[in-house]
Amino acid sequence: MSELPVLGVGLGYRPELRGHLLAGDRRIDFLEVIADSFLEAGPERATELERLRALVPVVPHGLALSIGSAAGLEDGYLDHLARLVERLAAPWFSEHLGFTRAAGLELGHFVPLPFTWEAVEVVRRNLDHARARLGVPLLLENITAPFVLPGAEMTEAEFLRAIVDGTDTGLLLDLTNLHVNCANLGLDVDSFLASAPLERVAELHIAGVRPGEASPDLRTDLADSHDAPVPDVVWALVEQVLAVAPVRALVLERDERLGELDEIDADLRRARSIWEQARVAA
Amino acid sequence: MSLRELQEALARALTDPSLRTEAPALPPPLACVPTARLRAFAGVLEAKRRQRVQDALPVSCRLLRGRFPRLFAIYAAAHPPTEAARRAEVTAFADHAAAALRPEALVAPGIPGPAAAELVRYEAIRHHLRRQSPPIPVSPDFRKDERLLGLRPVLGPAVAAASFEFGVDRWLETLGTDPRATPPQPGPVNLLLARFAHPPLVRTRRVNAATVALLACCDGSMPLRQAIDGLAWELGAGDEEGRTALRVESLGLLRLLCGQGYLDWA
Repeated sequence: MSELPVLGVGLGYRPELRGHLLAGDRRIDFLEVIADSFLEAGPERATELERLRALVPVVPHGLALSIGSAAGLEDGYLDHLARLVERLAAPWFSEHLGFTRAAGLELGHFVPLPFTWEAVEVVRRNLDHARARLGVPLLLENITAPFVLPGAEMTEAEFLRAIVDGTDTGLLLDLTNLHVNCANLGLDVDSFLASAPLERVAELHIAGVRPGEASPDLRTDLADSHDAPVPDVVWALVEQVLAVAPVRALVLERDERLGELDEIDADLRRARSIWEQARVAA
Repeated sequence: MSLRELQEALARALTDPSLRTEAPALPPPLACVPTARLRAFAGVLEAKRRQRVQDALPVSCRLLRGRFPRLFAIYAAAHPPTEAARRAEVTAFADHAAAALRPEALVAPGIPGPAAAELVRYEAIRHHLRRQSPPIPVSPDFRKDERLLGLRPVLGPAVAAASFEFGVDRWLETLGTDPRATPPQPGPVNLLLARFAHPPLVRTRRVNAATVALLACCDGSMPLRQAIDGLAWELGAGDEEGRTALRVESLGLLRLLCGQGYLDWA
């Protein structure tokens, strides 16, 4: 973990932002690209990637590895990923801790795992396989949980520790996801941070939220909408984690309302300010 | 219950359309997950799946408005999101939507069902081509007509020819600025869609039916001269004059296509 480079403040790359990304006095240390958008892409996307790389370091972030699949990983997908990682000379590859594939179905989004020892073993086995193919350390991202699966043998924080202990796998701690889970599932953020392996956090994600949709039989307080400014409560978490964790990268994610550049710039400026203060303090 | 069994049961439940109206029949360990939460998450999964198709078919989505999600819900209910299905999702949905829209007299004021159906299909073809790699650069020798006649051109992945009743190419462009634009009067329209390498975009060209048929013949199974002669015979232009006319037109088009990197060569 200590060998990972410090990348700084980055932005989740979206093609809609291309024209504005690196214009003016906007300072972005690196970009995080959705790996899946470039895996089987033609020369256009390859050119796009090369242009981005010529400007700043580019790090791949995956959506469909399905690292928690008990059925194992798909080698074809891994091969594509490995080529992308190599092309980018990426220092790491990050993926979500959940599963997206089961029973021959592609779910298209991350489904949570039960916090059990069997799931720990499955993830560790898959991580070994992926690590060997990709040749770089992996970072696992905590996801928002639409529900809690029964049979938990530990908390989420303990689950994360059990997975990364004794490996070179790091964590990508999505502080917005953490905030959303605590609000929706009644979890305690301080308890999580007290027992999570923060010493393994190499990257942070932050994004905006919006109120969730309520129905008579379901209460959802928050949704990680990625369409609004980062809320103050998440900024406070950034400061808290940066003070204790060896974070190498802080990434702002924004997927909707991409025309609101002032909001995005304000979030980037605030991220940089907090990042630089934390670096000075360290 | 093993983790694998749990994941499979969950995946089936989350993609089972009956989840909308019924409590899912889940094995005991999963039965305690609130149905409302499963239902809400299944809705999120379907919305994400639909969003990917909407992103690929923005004009069709704008044209059909609230109809689009309803059509997609019916499609999704009949097409589980298998890996193979996901790969061809845009085209499969376009076919499904076209089949549903085509019999309708009017989809919206001034918009006949067949025109809306063709627009969805056209946009799906265009999207498909945009995702393809550009064709392999052709040899400079293509300029020599006689040599060209001896070669075996094939329709590469970056070229598609299709017949339409409405001028959906022009209509689609108009819809970009005026969401209430109505389709042009119907009539036979043959469109050749091809992906240019420089600049990287898909262009549409109107061609005659014979050219569409000719390109459809160019599957690499016979030399171009033989394909043209066969086509001329079928079209009733079997005499030398007819064949020559067809050959000249086809060669002109093919020269254009090759020169701009349209065609792949076997």
